[in-house]
Amino acid sequence: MKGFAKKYIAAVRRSRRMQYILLLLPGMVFLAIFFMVPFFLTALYSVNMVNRLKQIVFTPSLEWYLYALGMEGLLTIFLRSIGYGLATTLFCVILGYPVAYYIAVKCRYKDFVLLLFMVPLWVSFLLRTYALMGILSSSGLLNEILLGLGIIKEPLEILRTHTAIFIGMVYNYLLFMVLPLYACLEKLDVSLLEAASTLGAGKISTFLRVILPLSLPGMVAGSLLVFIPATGEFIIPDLMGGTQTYMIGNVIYSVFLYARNWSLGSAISLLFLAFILAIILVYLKYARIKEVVF
Amino acid sequence: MKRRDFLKIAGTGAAGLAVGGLSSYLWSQSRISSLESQLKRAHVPLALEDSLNIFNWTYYLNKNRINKWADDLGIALAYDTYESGETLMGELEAAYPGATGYDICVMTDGDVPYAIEQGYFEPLDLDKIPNFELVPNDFKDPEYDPENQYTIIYSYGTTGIGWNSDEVSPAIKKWADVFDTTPGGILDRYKGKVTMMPEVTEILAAALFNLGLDANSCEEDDLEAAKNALIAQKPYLATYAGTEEFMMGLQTGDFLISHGWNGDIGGIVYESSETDVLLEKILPKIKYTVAEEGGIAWYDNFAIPMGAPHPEAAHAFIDFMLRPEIAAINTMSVKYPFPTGRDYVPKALREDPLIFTPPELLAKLTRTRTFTPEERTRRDAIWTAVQAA
Repeated sequence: MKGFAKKYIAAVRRSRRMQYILLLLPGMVFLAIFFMVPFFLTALYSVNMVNRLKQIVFTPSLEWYLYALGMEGLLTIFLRSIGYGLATTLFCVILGYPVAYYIAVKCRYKDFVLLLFMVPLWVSFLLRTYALMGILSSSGLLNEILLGLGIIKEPLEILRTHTAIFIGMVYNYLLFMVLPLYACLEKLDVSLLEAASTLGAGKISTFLRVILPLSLPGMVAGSLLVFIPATGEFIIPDLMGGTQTYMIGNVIYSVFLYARNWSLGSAISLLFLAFILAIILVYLKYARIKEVVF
Repeated sequence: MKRRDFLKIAGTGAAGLAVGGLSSYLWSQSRISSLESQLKRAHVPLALEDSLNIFNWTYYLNKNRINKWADDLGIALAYDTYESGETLMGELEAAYPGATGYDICVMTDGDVPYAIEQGYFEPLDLDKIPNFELVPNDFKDPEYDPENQYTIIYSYGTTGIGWNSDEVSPAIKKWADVFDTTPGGILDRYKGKVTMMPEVTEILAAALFNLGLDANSCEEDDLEAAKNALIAQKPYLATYAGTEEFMMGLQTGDFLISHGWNGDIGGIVYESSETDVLLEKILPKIKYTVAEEGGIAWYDNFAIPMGAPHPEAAHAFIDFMLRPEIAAINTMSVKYPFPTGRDYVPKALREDPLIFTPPELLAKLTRTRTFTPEERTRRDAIWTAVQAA
C-alpha cells in the first residue's frame, strides 16, 4: 500500500513536470533559435571561425579582440555610452518613482492613467524621436514657447548636444521604469504602513525603511530594463546627436557596414557585453536582490 | 517625402505659380508627351516575369513613370530604397551565397569591383538591353567594370561644398576654407553652422584633399594627418549631417556651409519631385562648389544581384530606364543627370554645371578606389577616433 502511494505521487509529479516542460517548450525553442543561435554565431565570428560562405571553420584567433582593445577612442566611447545609460537610469528612477507610487497607491483611475502612459508606445519609436527633434530644434516648439513667454532671449541650443540625447533617452525609456515599479508598489500591503505609523515612524522614515526596501525589486528590474537598451542605443544618437554623442551602437554599425569587418564588429559587441555584464553583476550584488520582479 | 512635399507646396504656393513658372511647367509637360510619342518603336514581345523587385537609393527616379511602365507590362513592382551604399553592400553580404530577392540594385563605382569579385552580381546580357548603345562613350566600358559585363551607368555626380551665398562671404572655394580654424577664419565666423558628411570615404577624402594628399590614401601617416585635421575642425561643426539633415538645414538656414553631393544641392536649388517634372529654381542663393584642391567624382550603376528571381524583367527595366525620354523625365524630376537623356532636357538644365558636371571638370576629379577589407577597417578606426575625440 505504501509502495503504491509512493508510486502514485511520483507519477503525478512526473506528469506535472511534463506539463511544465510542455508549457516552457515553445518559449525555450524560440529563445534558442532567435537568441542563442545568433549569439553563438556572433561569438564564432569574433574569433574568426566563420568564413565568407558562412560555414563554420576551425581557425580560432583572438586578433580582433586585440585589435579592438588597441583601438583609439574605443574606451572613451564605451565610457560615454555607459555614462548615458547610468544618467538615463538615474533620471528614470527620479522621475518614474513618484509616478509609479502615485498610480499604485493613491490613484483612483489606475488603468486609465497607465493607459495614458502606454499610448505613446503605440506610435513608432522612430516617429517619436523625429517628433522630439521637431520640439527641441532651435526653431522648434519648445524654443518658440520660451521665447514667446520672454523666458529666454536667444533660442536654446538643445538638439545635437548631450542634453538632447539625454532627453530622448529618458523620454523613450521612462515607461520601462514606471511599469515594474508600479507592479511592485501595487502589491504593497497598506497594513504595513499603518503598522509603521502605529510604531511611531514618521513619513520619511516609513518611506526609507518600509516602502523603499519593498519596492527595490521593481527598481532593480526597471533599472536593468532601462540601462541595458539605453547603453546600446543607436537611433537616438544617430538622429538627435551632434559631434560629441557617438555611442557604441554607432561604432558597431559602422564597423559592420562601412568596414564590413564582421569579426571586429562581433568582438567589439562581445567586449561591450562583458563590460555591461560586469557592471550589472556588481549592481545586483550591491542591491542584494535574489528575486527580480518583472 | 515630407520635406519634398513641403517644398513643393512652398514652391508652387509662394511663387503663386508665377507666369514664368507656369509656362515652363506646361512647356515641360508638352515636351514629355512629344518625347514619349517619338519613341513608338515596336516592342519585341518578351517573355517577362510578372514581378520585379528594385533596390535603389532614396529619391532617385520618377516613380510615377516606372509604375506606369510596370502596369503596362503587367509587372508587379516592389520598390525599396536605402540611404547609404553600405546598406546595399550589407544586404548583399548578408545574403551571400544565397539571393537577396532583388532584381535590380544601384551601386556606386568604388564598390563595384569588390562586388564583382565577390560574385554579388549576375552578368548582364547586353543583347537584351538595346538602348545600351545610346549611353555616351564616356560612360561605357569604365575602369571599374571593363566592357560593362555587370553594370551600366545610372547617374553620376561630384562631392563638394554647398553654401548659402546670402550669408557666407567670401565665396567658398576650397576645402581649406572648411578646415580653416584660424581666429576670424571661415570656421570661426560660421561656427556651429557648418556640417560634414558622416560617410567615412567622403569625409576622409575631404580631409586628405585639404592636406594636398591622395584622397584614397590608406598610409598610416596620411590618415593620422587627416584625423588631426578632422579633430581640429570638430568643435566648429554643427554636426556630421547626412543628406536629409543637411538639405533641411541649408533650406531653413540652420546650416550655412555643408559638405555634400551635387545632386542634393540641386534638390535644394531646384524644385524637385519623385512624381513630377518641375523645373523652377526656388533657392538660387544656395551655391555648390567643387573645391579647388579636388573632389570625388562618383558614378552609380545598374546591376542585377546574384540569384535575382526575375532577370528578364530586370533587363527590360534597365533598357526602359536608358530610353532617352525616360532618362530626361528622371533628370527633370529628381535633378540627377541621366546620361542618355542629356539632349532631351531643357537647355537651362542641360547647361547647369550643378546637374550635368562639365566633362572637363569630371575628368580632373578623383574616383574612389576599392579598398581592401583591411584598409576599410583601418579607415573606419580613424573615424571612430575622430568621433571619440
